[in-house]
Amino acid sequence: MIGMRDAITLARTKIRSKRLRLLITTVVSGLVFGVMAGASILVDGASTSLTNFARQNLDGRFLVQGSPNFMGPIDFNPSDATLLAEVQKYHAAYLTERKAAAKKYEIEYDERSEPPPYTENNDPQVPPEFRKSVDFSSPAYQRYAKDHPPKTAARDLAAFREIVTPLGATRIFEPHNIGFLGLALLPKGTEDLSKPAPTGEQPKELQTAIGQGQYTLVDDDLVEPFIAKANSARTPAQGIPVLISADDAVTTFGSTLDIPKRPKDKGAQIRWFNSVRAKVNGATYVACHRNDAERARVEEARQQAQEIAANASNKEYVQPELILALPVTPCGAVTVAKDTRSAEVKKAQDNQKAFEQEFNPTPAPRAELVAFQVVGLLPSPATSASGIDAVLAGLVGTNYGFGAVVPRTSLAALPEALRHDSLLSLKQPTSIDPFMGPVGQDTFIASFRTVEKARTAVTENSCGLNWTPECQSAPFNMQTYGTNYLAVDDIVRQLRPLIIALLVIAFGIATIIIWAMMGRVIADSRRETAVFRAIGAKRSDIASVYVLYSLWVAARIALFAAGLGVLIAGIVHVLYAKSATQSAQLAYAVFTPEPKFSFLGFGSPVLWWILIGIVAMSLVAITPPLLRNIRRNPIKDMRDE
Amino acid sequence: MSEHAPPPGSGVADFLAHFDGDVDAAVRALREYAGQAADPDARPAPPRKIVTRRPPRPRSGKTLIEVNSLAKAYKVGGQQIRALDGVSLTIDQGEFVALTGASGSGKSTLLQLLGGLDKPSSGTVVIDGADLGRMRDGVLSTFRNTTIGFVFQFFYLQPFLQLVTNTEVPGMFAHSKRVPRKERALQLIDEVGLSDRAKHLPREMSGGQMQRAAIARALLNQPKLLLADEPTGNLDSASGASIMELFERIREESGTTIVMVTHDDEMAARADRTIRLKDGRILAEEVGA
Repeated sequence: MIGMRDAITLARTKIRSKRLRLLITTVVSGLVFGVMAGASILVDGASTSLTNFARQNLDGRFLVQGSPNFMGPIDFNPSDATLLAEVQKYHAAYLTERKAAAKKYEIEYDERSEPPPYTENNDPQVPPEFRKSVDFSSPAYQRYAKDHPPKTAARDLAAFREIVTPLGATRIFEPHNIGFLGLALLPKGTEDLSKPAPTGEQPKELQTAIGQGQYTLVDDDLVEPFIAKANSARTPAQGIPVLISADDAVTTFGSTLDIPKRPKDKGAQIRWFNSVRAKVNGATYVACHRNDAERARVEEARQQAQEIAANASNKEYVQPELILALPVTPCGAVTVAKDTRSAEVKKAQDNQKAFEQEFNPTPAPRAELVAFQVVGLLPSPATSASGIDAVLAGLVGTNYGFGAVVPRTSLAALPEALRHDSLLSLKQPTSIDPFMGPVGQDTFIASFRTVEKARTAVTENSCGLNWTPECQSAPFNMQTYGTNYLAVDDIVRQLRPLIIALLVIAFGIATIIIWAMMGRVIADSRRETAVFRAIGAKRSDIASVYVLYSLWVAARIALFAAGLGVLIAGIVHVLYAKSATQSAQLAYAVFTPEPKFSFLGFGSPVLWWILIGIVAMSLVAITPPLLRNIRRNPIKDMRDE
Repeated sequence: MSEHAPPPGSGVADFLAHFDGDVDAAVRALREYAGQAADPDARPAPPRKIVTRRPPRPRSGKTLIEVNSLAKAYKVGGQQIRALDGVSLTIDQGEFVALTGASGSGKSTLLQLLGGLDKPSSGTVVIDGADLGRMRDGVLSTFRNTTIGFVFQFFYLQPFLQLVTNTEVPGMFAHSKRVPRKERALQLIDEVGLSDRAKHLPREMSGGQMQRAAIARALLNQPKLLLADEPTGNLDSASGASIMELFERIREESGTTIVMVTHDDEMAARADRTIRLKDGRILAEEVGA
């Protein structure tokens, strides 16, 4: 076969012929592929950049949150006759116990006052067999359910660990939501309980997460990127460490710490966030915990006070025998102002309480003032964003979803007096739901080292758009946590069929163009082929020359396309990278100089498919005319010429 | 039956007298006669006339080309056209033969079959002892490359290659080394009088120069046989004469056998022998000046 250098020499002569046609082919094909290449570079650059921001946001890991699945056994029938009969037996036993207890405490008891363990719907449209349904909240059902747990998978930590560990989870977090404690913010450290709680819209400062007592205890390393460095205000610690959102900081400390509102400009927002974090670091506030019993006593005391005040001039008014006094200190306990009850009355009331406690134990009244100290800011993307920023924020917007966060390790390091161990370790009372089992379970969070492993955990444990019985009865519904690092990848995956379709169309167009050009060039070269054959060229020699020619043309198109693609992406990068960096910083709440957003990404296989495809397509395009040419009788071609 | 074929019962001397003492022509006539006798269906050969133009040039006696009963038929519009019809001839090494005839006489077809560019319908072409019809395509290509040089009426040089590179093209297909190949090309360019044009492109040269360049290209691999198809057909008379001189010189200096198709009797007369074809058959052979 002809030597490579000689074949290149002859192939080059083809390049120099039909220059205009070659130029048009190169430009048109190059434009088609260049746009595709540019899009590929842009998409890869953007997705890589967003992943980098997500990684920075998540401290180099990928978190998956598992929430107990709401869907239980789908064949559960609350009107099942057997179930109703069983629950009825538990109800009878419950009444017997109540009767005995009433006798023990010497209180009057009428079992007819007890509601039945079922509800009835007498609507004639409802089939008779469904008119009576078990009342899930009834004591009888709760007792029955405790003995006969619903056929749902366990949703506890062990179950979560069993699922995520084989999938590669390196760490499991167990956030403990203490929102049920009702830690009420005392905005200025004071409280006025003389008036009833305002109805309708609450004051701004109470609309925040800390205003509504939304706290969660988490491991420090889950929120490590958002914990500020300790400063003099935090030495020594003055309260339970807490991370709050920037917007909560403005509402709570705006006036005292001179924190301006969030600016609209993206660059200014980043500076603002860093400024807020510095100002709020070490700021303190107090919140008040009152349990249900204590809240009931506060309400009773307030009503008594109002009643007494209203009847101050009424000489016929008889004050209650037991008068409660509202607390005089912030978050103080309700005290007994006056107790004129007889011993008998007191005993009867105490027995009634003891009777209720036996069947429905409730904690003793408790009021506790808790001091908090801000140790960091949680990301909170601007809700006022618009355009691409709003899309980005909606798509990947950082959301730690817990309200305010108390880092456990930092909490444990506090002096005992500040820790409120007995309060913060309280568990939310649970009831048993026939579908879910115990209600009130915490969610769990698993950490993965790679986005692929996290994706597997999410896809294998969420229904997505396919609500099958299997996925509905899965114990946990898993989703990305912190930021939706899968969103961009998901979009790219969703777009993949479109990208492939566009590629096919582009290849089709370019193939036709290149095919026409190559076919014409080769067809026009019949005489030359014949001359080559006459002077001793083998068919393989001629094929080598034209294959090299084809590769040469393909290389020019590929080079043009690659250059155009880089140019397009480069222009977009120059024009928008800075703004995109700011958008991503805000969306991911990453306010470090690195990473920066780049629209230039060269790692996508699509880019290489395009370049390889151009070469393959060029080779395919020359094959039929080339085969025809080298099989033809050279004399016929010379004669035709 | 040929006009000069020996009638039954005539003597050898009488038979040879028909050929003016040309024994080879007599032998060819006898062979042809024998071939036709073996094929009763064959078409009778046209009458062959031998014209003596000059004293016969001494022949080497070594046959380079041996053509036997060569026929080539084409189908045109469903009709069979016999371009060549039972041609037999021999050409010696170092001989300069002109093939002449009117358009459609079969001279170019014969040249192409001699060059192995086309397959005969029947008959054989043996060149330098090798039967072209028995060669596979790749072997035939190599044979053409090393044994045969082609010169075309329209030169067919590569338009974007310098003259020196154009001359090297047959060497490229022969895998010859670049340096000696280039030296040989430059030497040939010098020999054809174009040394000052070695770096020029074909479009920068005249027709005569391009044909000289094409001849240099044809000679690169030192072929034993040079096949020229109307080499002067596209040139003015002065350039044509110069090309003929070049052919003569090549033949004299290197002993290359030259077979040239031409319709120009003046050019044909410069060959050692002229074979005149008509309707695919040899009409006459003219030897000498």
